Amino acid sequence: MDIKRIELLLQKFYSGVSAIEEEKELKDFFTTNDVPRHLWAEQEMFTYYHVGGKGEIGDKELENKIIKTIKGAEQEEAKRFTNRRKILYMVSSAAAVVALLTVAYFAFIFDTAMQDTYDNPEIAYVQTKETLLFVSAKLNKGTKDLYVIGKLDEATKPLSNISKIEYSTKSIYTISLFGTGMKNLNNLSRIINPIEKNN
Amino acid sequence: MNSEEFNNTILPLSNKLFAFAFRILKRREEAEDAIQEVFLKLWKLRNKLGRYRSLEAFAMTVTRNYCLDKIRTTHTVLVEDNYYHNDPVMVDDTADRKLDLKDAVSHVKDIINNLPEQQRMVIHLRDIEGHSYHEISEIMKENVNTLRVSVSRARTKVREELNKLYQNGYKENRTSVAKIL
Repeated sequence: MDIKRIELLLQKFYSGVSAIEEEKELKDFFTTNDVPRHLWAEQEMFTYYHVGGKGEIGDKELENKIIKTIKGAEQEEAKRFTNRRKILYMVSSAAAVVALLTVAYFAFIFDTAMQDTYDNPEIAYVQTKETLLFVSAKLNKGTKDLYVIGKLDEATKPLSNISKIEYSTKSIYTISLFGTGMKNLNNLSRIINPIEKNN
Repeated sequence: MNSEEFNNTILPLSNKLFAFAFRILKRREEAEDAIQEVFLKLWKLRNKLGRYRSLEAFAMTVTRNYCLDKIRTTHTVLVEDNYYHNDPVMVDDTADRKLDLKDAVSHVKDIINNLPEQQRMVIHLRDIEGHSYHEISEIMKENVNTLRVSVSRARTKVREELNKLYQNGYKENRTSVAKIL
């Protein structure tokens, strides 16, 4: 390769104006050719650039670590999701249990009622009649005490007399009219008196 | 973007992102942690990744921002894993030059690691990863001219430092040969 051209490319390289292809040409030159002594520093430099960071990294190892980290993040995300689900499940199952219990309770109550205890309907009839009579007797006995409440009504009767007080107050009013009559009589006496004085 | 798409498009970038993070943070352990965080971020953003023109540039930007934040918040001066090797390079006029790749890597790497952040990132993206200035501008959020200036400075600095090593080595070699004679 033409050293003059290489030196020109190097000049562009150091001033930061070389193109990618020119830089590649330099890399190729320095990694494959015997290089004159004054360019040995450049040779070392381009060899490093060519090799780059390669060999400094254990590639698969790093990738595996990353996969592991991401899996962890993924699982955490999934866990957060299932936790939300779990709570939903718990709440809904609790609600279901409550509903089931209420249904069972009512079903039990309505279910236990009718069951035959007698084989012969006539005996059953007699027995039922007896029982009902017994119950009604007891019921009547219980209501007897309630008659006392009726007496409360009797007690209020005398209170109606109180209303008669009003009548008596009316007659008191007529007494007050008597007062005004007296005043008129007094005036009358004033008329009479001057006459008496003049006499 | 579902898990499979994520694994197919984003995961293969891991080495590239790691190399970039390593260049910025200079320490393997820090860079690995950073990459884990960056991938978690990308994973959480997976449903929005479709709207970016270049996923790679976006991932690189996320990495850059994360690493710079890391440097700024920890306020620690990051000491690189391998300390600066400024052993002079022994240069012999007569012997064939056999470039020891391992040495080459350590010299240039150390020199780059001593550059300022901006230049370090730019030289990584341009000379090692071979991105176009347009792409770099997208990643770094800088205009192309500023980037060209940074690249030029960084490259010149690398050459200067390397030349110093070579000249010293050459001199030392000569004096030792003279002594023997």
